Amino acid sequence: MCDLFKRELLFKVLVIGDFGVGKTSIIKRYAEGTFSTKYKITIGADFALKQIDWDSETRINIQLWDIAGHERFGYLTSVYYRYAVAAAIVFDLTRPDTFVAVSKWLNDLRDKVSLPHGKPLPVIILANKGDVAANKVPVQIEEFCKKNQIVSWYITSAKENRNIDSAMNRLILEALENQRNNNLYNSDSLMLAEEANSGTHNSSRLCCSR
Amino acid sequence: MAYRARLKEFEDILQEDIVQLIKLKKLAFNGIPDDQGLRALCWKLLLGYLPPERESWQSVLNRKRALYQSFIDDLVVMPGSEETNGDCTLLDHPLSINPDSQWQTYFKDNEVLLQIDKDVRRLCPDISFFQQPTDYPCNQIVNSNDVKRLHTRVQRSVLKCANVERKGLGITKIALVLKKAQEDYQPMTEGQEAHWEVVERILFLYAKLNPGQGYVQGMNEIIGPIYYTFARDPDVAYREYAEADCFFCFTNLMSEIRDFFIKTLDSTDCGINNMMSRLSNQLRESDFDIWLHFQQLELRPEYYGFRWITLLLSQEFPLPDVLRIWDTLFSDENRFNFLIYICCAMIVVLKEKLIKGDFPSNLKLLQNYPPTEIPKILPKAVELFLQRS
Repeated sequence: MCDLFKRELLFKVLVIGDFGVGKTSIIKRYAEGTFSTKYKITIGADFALKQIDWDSETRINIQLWDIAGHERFGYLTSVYYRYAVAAAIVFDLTRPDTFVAVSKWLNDLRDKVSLPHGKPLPVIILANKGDVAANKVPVQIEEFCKKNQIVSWYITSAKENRNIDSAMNRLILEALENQRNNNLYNSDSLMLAEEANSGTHNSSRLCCSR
Repeated sequence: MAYRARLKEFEDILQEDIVQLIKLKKLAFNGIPDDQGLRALCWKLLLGYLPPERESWQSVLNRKRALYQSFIDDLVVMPGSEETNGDCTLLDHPLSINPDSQWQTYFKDNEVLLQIDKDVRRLCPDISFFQQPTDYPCNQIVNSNDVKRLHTRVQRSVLKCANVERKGLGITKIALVLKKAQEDYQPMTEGQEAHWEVVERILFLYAKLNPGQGYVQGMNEIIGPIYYTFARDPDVAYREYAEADCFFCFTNLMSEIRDFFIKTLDSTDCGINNMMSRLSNQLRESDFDIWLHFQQLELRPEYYGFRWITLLLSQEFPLPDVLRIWDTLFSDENRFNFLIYICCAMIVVLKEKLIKGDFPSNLKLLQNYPPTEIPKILPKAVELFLQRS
């Protein structure tokens, strides 16, 4: 049954949030390990790839979609959101307005995309520019996350490479869980029983391997 | 010699009493020489800022430049600067709820300005031009003790707190830690102004004068190449007024492509959706194999063509190539029809790679266009245009 995980997975992950909060920087940091203050503005959506060997049996290809923050591009988001399995919503700690906009982005996301069986996408919140303003975390954030089924939130800094990998790993873990459950759901009944057993077995191994 | 001859052709056309635009377009379609400010002059004609009649040029320029100066006088104002003595209950103040309050407008404008400010500081980061000082700053602004500088209106100032330690004998130590994000696009000192600050002012005035549309991200990328061309005009008499001239040329250009920037017009004939489906149809006609491959991959033009079309390709290539491509775009008799052929050509010249590529590698390729293939694009676009059914 090891074969179950001896394969490549493809996850489409969205990175959304208001303009100028650092979405492109976070993606470049995560996918390429670099930082620059010189990114052009994003028009429409940009695309990046990251491959990670999650464990000895799983390789994950992550498609990162960097979605433009200006509301002009709003109608396009439904096209860009399609087939996504997870999302990170970014705001800028130095601009309180951008945290207010998080709920707008979350609603847009929930309205337009969900997992194959109607489950909502796992979402994390990234409080970016933590190198400049780590002490400016909005007090409501914890409550907001609880109320809106946000997986977790992180203070990040693309510039100082803080917390980005761990945040993304957390999100990927959620996506993996969903993928596994979904696979079980899709199999026919005979397989279902069989895989359910191995499924629990595998999932425990998966956690240990991290 | 061929180059000389070409220069001469341009000069001949431009020296006529009435410039024949049809001839000019035909010639400029194949590229305008970089010399002698020819591009700046031709763009002014092609964008309808200068009329074909040579003798009226100077009066048009004088009028427009004066008009632009009046925009600056009227619209880049700091509330409170023109208060007169009188009944102080009528005075305007920051908390006024009077809808005519200058302060109300001021705060609303600052929301737009914040976005413009963020965007102009991200303009053409691969060249240093926009970070350099202009030779022709707007004097009433750069000598206003920073009061009228637009970016100072949206500068983020935070209250600072400090740890105060007391060490016996009344010695107080204040530990003030200041952290500030480092800025590449530094504002200049009093009396000077960087090019990006000039662009910021043009965009702000445009947004104020076109309230229906306002400012939309991407406009900075449209204005960039025009301003760059005008502000580097070797003819000082023109260069000095790059700001005003650029404003009007940008306004004219936007009037033609504004529909790309308005969300509610996305699905109309001139909207961006229509342009993207035209691109898809043209691709099917020009190269069915690639079109089919893209269909199978679900590689939609929204993923790459949206930016290509909205920004007239200004983000896809290095600036000199953008200028060259815009010569052609502006010379298009049926503006911006030829843009579709250029976009299509961009795909077709990459056929070998694209046909073998999967979704991610193809999308990466199209979003990061390989510079080596640029020279092939325009000839291919002409070829596709001539083949059209």
